[in-house]
Amino acid sequence: MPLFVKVRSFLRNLFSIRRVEMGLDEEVRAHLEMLAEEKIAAGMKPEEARRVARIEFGGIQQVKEQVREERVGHWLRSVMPDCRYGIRQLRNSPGFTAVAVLTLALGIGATTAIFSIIDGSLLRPYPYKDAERLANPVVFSADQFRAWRFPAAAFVDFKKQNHTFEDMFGLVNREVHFSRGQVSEPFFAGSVTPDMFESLGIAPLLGRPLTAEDVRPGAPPVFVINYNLWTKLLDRDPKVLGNTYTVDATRMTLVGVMPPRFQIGGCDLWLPLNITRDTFVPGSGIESNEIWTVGHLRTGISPETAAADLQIIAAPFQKDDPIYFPPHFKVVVNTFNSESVDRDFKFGLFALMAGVSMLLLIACSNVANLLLARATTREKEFGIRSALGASRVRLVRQLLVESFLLALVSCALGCLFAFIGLKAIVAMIPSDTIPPEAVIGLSRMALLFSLAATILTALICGLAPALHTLRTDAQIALASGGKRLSASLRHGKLRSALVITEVALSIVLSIGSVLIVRSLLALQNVDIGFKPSNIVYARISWPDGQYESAQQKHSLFRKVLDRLTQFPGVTAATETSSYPPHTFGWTTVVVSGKTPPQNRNTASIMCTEGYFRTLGRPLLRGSLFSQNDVDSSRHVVVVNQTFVRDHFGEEDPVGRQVRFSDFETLADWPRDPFFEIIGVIADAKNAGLQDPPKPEIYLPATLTAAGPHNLMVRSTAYPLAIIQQIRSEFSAIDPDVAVGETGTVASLLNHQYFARPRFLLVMLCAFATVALLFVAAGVFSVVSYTVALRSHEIGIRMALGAQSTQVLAMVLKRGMRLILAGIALGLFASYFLARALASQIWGVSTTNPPSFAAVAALAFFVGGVACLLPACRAARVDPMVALRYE
Amino acid sequence: MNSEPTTLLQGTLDLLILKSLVAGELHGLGISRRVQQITGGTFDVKPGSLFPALHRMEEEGWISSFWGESENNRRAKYYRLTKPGRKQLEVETKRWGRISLAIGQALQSS
Repeated sequence: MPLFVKVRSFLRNLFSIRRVEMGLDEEVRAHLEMLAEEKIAAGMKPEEARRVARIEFGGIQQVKEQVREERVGHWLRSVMPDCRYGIRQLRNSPGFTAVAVLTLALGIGATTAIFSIIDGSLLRPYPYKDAERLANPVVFSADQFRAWRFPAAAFVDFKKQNHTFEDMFGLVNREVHFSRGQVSEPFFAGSVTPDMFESLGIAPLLGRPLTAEDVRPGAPPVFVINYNLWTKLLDRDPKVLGNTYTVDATRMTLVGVMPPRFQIGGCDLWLPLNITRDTFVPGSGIESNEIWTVGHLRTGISPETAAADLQIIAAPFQKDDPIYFPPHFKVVVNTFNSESVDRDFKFGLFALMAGVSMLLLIACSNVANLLLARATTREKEFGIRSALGASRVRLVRQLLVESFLLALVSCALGCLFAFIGLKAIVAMIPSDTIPPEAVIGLSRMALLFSLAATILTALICGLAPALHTLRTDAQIALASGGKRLSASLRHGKLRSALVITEVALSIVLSIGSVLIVRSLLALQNVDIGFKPSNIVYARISWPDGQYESAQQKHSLFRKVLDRLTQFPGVTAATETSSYPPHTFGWTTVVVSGKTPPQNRNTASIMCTEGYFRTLGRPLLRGSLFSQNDVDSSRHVVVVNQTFVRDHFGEEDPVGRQVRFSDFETLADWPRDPFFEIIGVIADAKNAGLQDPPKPEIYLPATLTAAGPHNLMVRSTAYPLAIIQQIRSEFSAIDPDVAVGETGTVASLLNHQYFARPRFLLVMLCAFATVALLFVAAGVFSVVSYTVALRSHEIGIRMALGAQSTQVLAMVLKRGMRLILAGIALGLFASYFLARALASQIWGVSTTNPPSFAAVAALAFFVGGVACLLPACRAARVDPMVALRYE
Repeated sequence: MNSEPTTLLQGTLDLLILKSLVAGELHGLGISRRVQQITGGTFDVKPGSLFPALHRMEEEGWISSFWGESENNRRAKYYRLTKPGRKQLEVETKRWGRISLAIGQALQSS
């Protein structure tokens, strides 16, 4: 019953407020008259009675307002006029509104943009069904990463015997040639167990996914392609379904096209594969038979529990497959989401998020300062309102409504900024940094985030002026006619605190950026151990069924190499399995007479005699390959210094024997497994710029046809000319051999080593610059405002004989005191905060004094300029003008 | 006239208003006078507290209002107790009894 009454009152207050108000008017009037009648009855004169009645009643408007505030739904009722009034207020001062909105929009936009990247690449990078539970096992041995793909038997046992995965599918990568008509191009194929499609839960764009039917014996060969391939090769023609194409010399029917975000395994096309314990799974070269094992963890199962489960299943394999499961191996289950980007980039994103949050805070304190300045000039208005019965709460709410309006407009503009900015930022993210499935854009989540940021912003901005209003006395406000010196100086404290915070935040942000710049410079000065300029590489794609022996490949190379070295400017050229900074094939090398190592950490490179001259790797001991060594596949190897240090210490390695246990399973590996070390070359970076080099071993390229056989050329000629030359040489000798991806080694290094730090750097510097601009604007507005408030006082001082230089010094001193305090606070905070950046910083200490000093000097300078302008204005105050208004 | 009464305990005003309406319907001024009378002049409820309280209690459903005629044939808004209002009065009376007992005990103890 009371609830019903309440609802009725609420509706009445909302919809027939006029009648309610009229009732209140009449009630009050009746009350007053009855009071007066009482007095008259007691013998007062009617006029006197009415006057006394009014005094006894109190402020009519105040009483009415108090009644209004008691009403149900009063809050809702009064917000609308507050909003209307707020909009009018903001429209009346377009300059202030524009500055505030722009500042907040930049802050909100930047935060939203960075959040979008985090959302797209860390929180929800994969579009698959229950993607947060997708996980795959990997194996570590003694803290060293060992394997992420497993032999067929291990896969089958994992799938059958586990208790922790809901489903499990396998995928094997390999390069295939996809032909239609005469054109044949290499693509990346994934042979998969067909249950993958059901497990990932994404319907094909066209046609059907692969099913269990497709792996029945005698089933017609079919395949499914990704969106890119469909777009690039088949012009998005929906009629291609059912057509047959040649995939690696087999005619296969295309049955489905997957939607754009379906990119599992980074494959262009998927073929059905049935995996039993003894299936030989075709893969790329020496990586055949390795199955990437993926599944959904059961609900509530942690990766650790799943790892313990698989550990037990994998234990028996330790004997048969020590390469994958070495003694004391440890299974680790990684969830997809945790591994979507590498640790450094993840950390970089968090650092950026911290950076933009600081930017937003700076923007907030700037706007808070502006609002505070306005609140002091609006004291008269608030004085009148409270005299007319507005409660403090009501006034504070008015201010909060205004800051919410500001924040909401800024949010809309900020989202627009974020939308535009994201396009630029996404274009700057180095390739291969985020998974191909990830889509970065303004998602619903990002919009929600920006709304949350907006609400927070409004509260932070509105708080300072609200506090100010709470402390204002209406009577004083009215009496002084809105021009109040004492109060403005009193509340100067709050403004000062805001400026100090702002300066400190920008110092932290700038120091972070400077440290990143310094470490990038340090990285660029690292001696990588070879000369990367002027080297061109070309990936060679071999036609199916031809060039199946290493000698066939080599004889083609020999012809090309001979002709290329005739080309003007070419100083060296080589056949090679890999080019820096990438290393193809990490292997176990067993040195005769020593205990075999338990790791696969030696980089093996198959090359010809020109390799060392092409890269500029100096020989330290022994000799390099001769052309004869390579042509006749002699069992000789060259190693680097680290290899020698790891295996021989001070002993002389030249003449010692080694064998390659991993390669001995290759079909064309020589019967005699022993190789002689003939030379030692100087170390070069091969495991990143920051880390010491890993051991390397070089073999003649003629030993096996497995693995890549590519080309590298050093020349002083223009790279494009050389690439053109390489293409024409190959097509002149055999048009079936395609030259795939080409480029310069320098650009590969650039991408591998510098692209990510540079990305972080550009972003942080941009934010730091904007922050510094905000600070300059903030300091300027606060000092200007103080000068404007004190112009009267300054006028008096000058009339009494103060020199303009003294006034200038006075204003400057006040401003610079704040800036110095902010700088000191910022340096202090940076000293501790910079340690959090340690993993991103290299070659420079996180408390590098010159960096700190430089940032402090910059802030001092910028702050000084921002103070100087209003100080000059103060110095030019004309005492006559300033005093006239008194 | 006593000047303390403005500082009424929260809830005490409600109690007094409810109590003043037990005998029958009254208009605002009547309630004010009645409270004065029943408290022996200790409490003088000013319109600034009376009106908001009346409107709040009406929206709570404890009292209801209607327009009637005053002693001098003037249109005035009258209030009367509702059923939930009587219940509320009981609750408040008990509560007040407990409080005054407790405070009385507290003050008597040395």
